[in-house]
Amino acid sequence: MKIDKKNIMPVAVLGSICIVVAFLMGLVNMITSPIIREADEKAVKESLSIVMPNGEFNARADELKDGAPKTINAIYTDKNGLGYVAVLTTTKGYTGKAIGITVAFDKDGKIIKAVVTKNEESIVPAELKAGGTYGDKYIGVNAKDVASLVTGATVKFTESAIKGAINDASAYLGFIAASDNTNTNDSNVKGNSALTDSDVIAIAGELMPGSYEKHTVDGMPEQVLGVYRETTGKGYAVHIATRTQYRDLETDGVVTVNAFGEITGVKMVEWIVGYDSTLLPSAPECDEAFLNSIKGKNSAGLKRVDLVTHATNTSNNFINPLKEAMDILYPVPIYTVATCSVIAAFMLFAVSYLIYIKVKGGKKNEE
Amino acid sequence: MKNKRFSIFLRGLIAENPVLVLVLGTCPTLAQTSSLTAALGMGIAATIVLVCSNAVISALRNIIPDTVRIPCYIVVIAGFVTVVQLMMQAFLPPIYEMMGVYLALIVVNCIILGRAEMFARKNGVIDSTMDGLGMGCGFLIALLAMAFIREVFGAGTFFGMPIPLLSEYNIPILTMAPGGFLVFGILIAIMNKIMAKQGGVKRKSFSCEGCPSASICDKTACSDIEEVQVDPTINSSEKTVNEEAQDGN
Repeated sequence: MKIDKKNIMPVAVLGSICIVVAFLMGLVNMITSPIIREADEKAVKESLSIVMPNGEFNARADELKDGAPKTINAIYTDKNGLGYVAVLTTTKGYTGKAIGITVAFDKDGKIIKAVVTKNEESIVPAELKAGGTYGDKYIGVNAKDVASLVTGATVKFTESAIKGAINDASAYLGFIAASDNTNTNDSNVKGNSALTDSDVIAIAGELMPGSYEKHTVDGMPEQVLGVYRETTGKGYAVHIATRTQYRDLETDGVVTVNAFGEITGVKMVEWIVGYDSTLLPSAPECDEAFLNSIKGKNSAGLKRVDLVTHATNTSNNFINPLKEAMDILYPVPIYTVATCSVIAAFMLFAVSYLIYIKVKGGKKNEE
Repeated sequence: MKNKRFSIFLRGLIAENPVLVLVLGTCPTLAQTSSLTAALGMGIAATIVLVCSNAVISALRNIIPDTVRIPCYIVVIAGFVTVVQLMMQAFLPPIYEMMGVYLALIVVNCIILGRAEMFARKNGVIDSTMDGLGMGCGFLIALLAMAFIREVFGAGTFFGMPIPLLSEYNIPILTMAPGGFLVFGILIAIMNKIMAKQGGVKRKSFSCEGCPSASICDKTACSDIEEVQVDPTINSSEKTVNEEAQDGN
């Protein structure tokens, strides 16, 4: 490219305009940024003063470390060393809707104050509403003692969710060991069941008529209490009981699966427990729609099951071990995988060859 | 001269209203007219940017080469928008929060780039400033007219203050998108009626260059007002209105 005035001028003019505009913006930023920063810090201070009235904070929250729990929205460190304020959101309540909490810790891990800032659950007693008195029970409580605070039966799940979120913040700030964090460690474990083998066989007979015998299968998840094979080859009955370690969400049920790996019937004897039916006028039984949505599904189809609206965790806890059991009982034959791979490779080759022929033909026509 | 400049200013208010006649800047018009406060904030911000950018672009019109004129205009406009944004964030935080993303979108507002291209690069600094002021005021008037109808009858409030009776018997759809389009259409219809009584919906002097319907218009709606001579050295590759009409014949 020939370098002459005609080529240099546009670049020079555009560059000069950019420099002047940038300078102007820098000047305005210099004037306005202290005002903006002060206004932001004031807004943050006002929002956090509900839990730490004497706190002084930066406008920006602290940068969260990698792997910070999802319940933590922001952590603010007091400039004068008074402690920390954690802004949290949890969805592990009864309905799975958002519950917002702001909690202040002193530098030793004692809770100064906690306030519920948002509660979108369907059942919300007055004390658990945004700005209610619920947070008063945490005043003066040490971070490591939060898990042992008693929860009310009526709002067990909401309180468990709030405690769990506060535990997340405590563990993140180092006031409790990660292994003591009941929120992340609230794993799905083997549940308790009052059903005997004959009870399970009777239920299986109702769901898928036949004669069943107990069958030992290696590698089953601990939540699968028993596998019963139908003697004429119709399929299996699987007895599953689950429980979450800290929140006592329990399930107990029997599922029958046919010889093709498809669910033919489900019966739940235990679903959600731990609530007061006087407060919840219609105790949510195991959702019929959920049960019907499982029927006919195989292991792969269980991934697309719509979980129960008010019992996301519970239904998830039941589906996962069921899927694992079905994968063990009905493994995909290796020859199926191999055959599909060969067919896919052949089709890819065929399409590529056809494209090559077409392009080559096009080039010949041009010549 | 003074009369000419004043007429340039007045044109932007009604006869060449950017929103209701030229149909430019419809996105912020619909988005920011659900409340009078937001409309006022948007109108004033857009006016300031329009005036400043028109003045600067007019001052630099003999320096900016044709090949880079659009990027230069965008840089100038974006600079002024950023200045307005920072000022609002510092001194008017409630209005800044209310305007949200639409404040930054003033950069790509058709009115500002359109007037820079159509007027500022062909006319002097003072004329361009008056044009910017007129267009900005016209934009503000249109926004306030729409916002008045939508907030008073849609929400039953006036600048956020509840109006007795209307606050109880309001028409909520007016505050939503469908209502916005409805009000917008009705206002354009009213404007067309007023302009028709004044001898024509659009004038040929600006219509074909700036009209979005130029390609499908048969020009029967335009009045027979003498055309303003366009400088043939600018955009010589583009045909003038007469040449296009002759080609059509």
